[in-house]
Amino acid sequence: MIKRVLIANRGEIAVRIMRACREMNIETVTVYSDADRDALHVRVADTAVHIGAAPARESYLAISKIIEAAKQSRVDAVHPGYGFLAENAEFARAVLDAGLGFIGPSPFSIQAMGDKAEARARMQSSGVPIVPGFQERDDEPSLRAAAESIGYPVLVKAAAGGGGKAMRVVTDPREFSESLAAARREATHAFGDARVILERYVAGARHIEFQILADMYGNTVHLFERECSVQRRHQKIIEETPSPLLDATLRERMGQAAVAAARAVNYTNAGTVEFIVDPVTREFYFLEMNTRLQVEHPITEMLTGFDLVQWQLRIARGERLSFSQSEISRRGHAIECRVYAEDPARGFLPAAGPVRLLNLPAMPGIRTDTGVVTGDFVTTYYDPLLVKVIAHGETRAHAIARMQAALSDFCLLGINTNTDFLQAVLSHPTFLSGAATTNFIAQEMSGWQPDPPESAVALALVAAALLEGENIALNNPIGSGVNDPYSPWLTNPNFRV
Amino acid sequence: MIKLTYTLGNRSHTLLLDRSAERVQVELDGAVLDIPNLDVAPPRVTMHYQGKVVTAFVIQAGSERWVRVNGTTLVLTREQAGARHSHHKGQHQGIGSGIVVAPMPGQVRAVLVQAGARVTESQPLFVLEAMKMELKVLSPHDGIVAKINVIAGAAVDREQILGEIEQQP
Repeated sequence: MIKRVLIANRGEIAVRIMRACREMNIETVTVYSDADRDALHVRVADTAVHIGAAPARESYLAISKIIEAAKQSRVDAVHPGYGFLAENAEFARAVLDAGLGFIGPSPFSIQAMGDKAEARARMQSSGVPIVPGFQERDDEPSLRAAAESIGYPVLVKAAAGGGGKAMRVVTDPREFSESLAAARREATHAFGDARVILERYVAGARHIEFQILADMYGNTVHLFERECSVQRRHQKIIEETPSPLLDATLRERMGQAAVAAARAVNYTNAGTVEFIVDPVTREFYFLEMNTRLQVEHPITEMLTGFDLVQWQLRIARGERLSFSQSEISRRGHAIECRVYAEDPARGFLPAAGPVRLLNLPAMPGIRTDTGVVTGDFVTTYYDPLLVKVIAHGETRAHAIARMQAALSDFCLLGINTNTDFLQAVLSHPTFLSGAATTNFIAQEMSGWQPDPPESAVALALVAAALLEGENIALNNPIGSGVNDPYSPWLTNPNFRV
Repeated sequence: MIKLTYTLGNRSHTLLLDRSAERVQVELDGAVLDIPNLDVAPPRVTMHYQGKVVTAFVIQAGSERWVRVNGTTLVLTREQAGARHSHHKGQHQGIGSGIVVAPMPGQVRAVLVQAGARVTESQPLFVLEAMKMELKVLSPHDGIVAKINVIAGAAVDREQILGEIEQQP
């Protein structure tokens, strides 16, 4: 029985998970660092436990502190969210060893998919197509020989890696040694493990993943795909389902491969099998499995009607999937845009500061998952994701039109965000035609600068001028400006000038 | 009549605002805009402009005016009357100034050089970290490290001065 859950996370995903818990009458306990004392996820929780200083390794990544908080607050289970400790087998084991439930797969599944070399070998023996590559040995002569037979360009990747870290494309054999050394250095730094694998570099690939749900009785289903090709620095910014690239046959084959991949590691709970697809040959290859809830899970929820977080909780408390593969259907098209605290005009550098105003769009077919509200402060300690805007429509064009309307209404002032950049992507011909590959942002959006129309500049100037304090004082001799609580400017919204 | 000056990027705009009972007349960069029927309910301003209803949201933060209007975000800087045109951003980045600033807010992960050290152009001086992203701050030119203002672990704001590289003749 799960009556109380600790959410070992923060931001929008902690809030999202707590909403599902509340719907199921499960009490929520959240954890927070010094930087998050007043954060939204703390305010939404039933109980909040302080676990340490702002840097993640002293709080959200500190396994012993989270286990201690879980024991102290007598929860039945722990939900790891995504990021932080979500794919850390040692953490999952520590939760189980403490006699608590882990809302996710077994430590074995996490481990088996976390090691890229091991995962490739398992996929190969389960008949899941993998990118031609090499993971058998790790010495330079063997790797170099393998690179020759795979053919350049070749990708050098950390065996323990993920998330685009410690990854090098080698186009020229003469650069092999240097790139190998750099990848090993980065891998050691990021994962404490210098081992690498090789993969053929598929240029212009599409990133398409399948959502998996698996209960503890051997029932494994997929909930169709999500296309996540629109990325910057290997980080997704727009996701959609269905993929504009797939037809029924390819969807069927990839779905079966995704289920086979999950079964190969005895997977339970929610997970995602990522593939790359060569749009020319239409061949697909296993990339990795994310053994956790995905950031972009809401588009699958919009498309299929299933609540993935509720199913995570239901599977963890021992329920069977109440539906079979053939009973899962899709309706329409869904898109997600990730609003990040960053400056797209300056190389997507992170931004921080106060959220002085946040207006979320409310209109047909729109869902917003937010980790902040007006008045919150965004620090540089954690992920730059602030809000996810999700649109559902009857067709792809309808969903895009709804997203454009939603982003136009979306208003976050006080911190630089990528909102205007997302709008530019949504109206780009390559995106609109459904042909965007993982190179799209780098190749077709590089050097993007905001280019507000003259009319918007004029209106902004006029609006700013109308709100100046001096203005109000000059036109309102009784009051003394914006600080005057009796000013008609503040108390009467219908006051006309 | 009120006179206001704002900058957007490197452009400066001056407005002359004239209010009467039912409308606002604005002279903007020489052109006259006539805006009837407006609601002002901070942070929201609703205007009738060229036959269309337009709603803008405006936030004041120091001299900055953050505006969202017609699906566009603009950050204007209010210039004080009589003040010299001073722009905080980029003021240290003159060619050859040798001042090294933080290009983003974050934490100083590492200080890679010591005061007095000889450095070459593009040599990494500092490692900053923000939101799981690492950024190396490079030397603007060859020279000697004249000053280091931060230590590893320190939190820095965007544009904060991290150090100084003295150019050798």
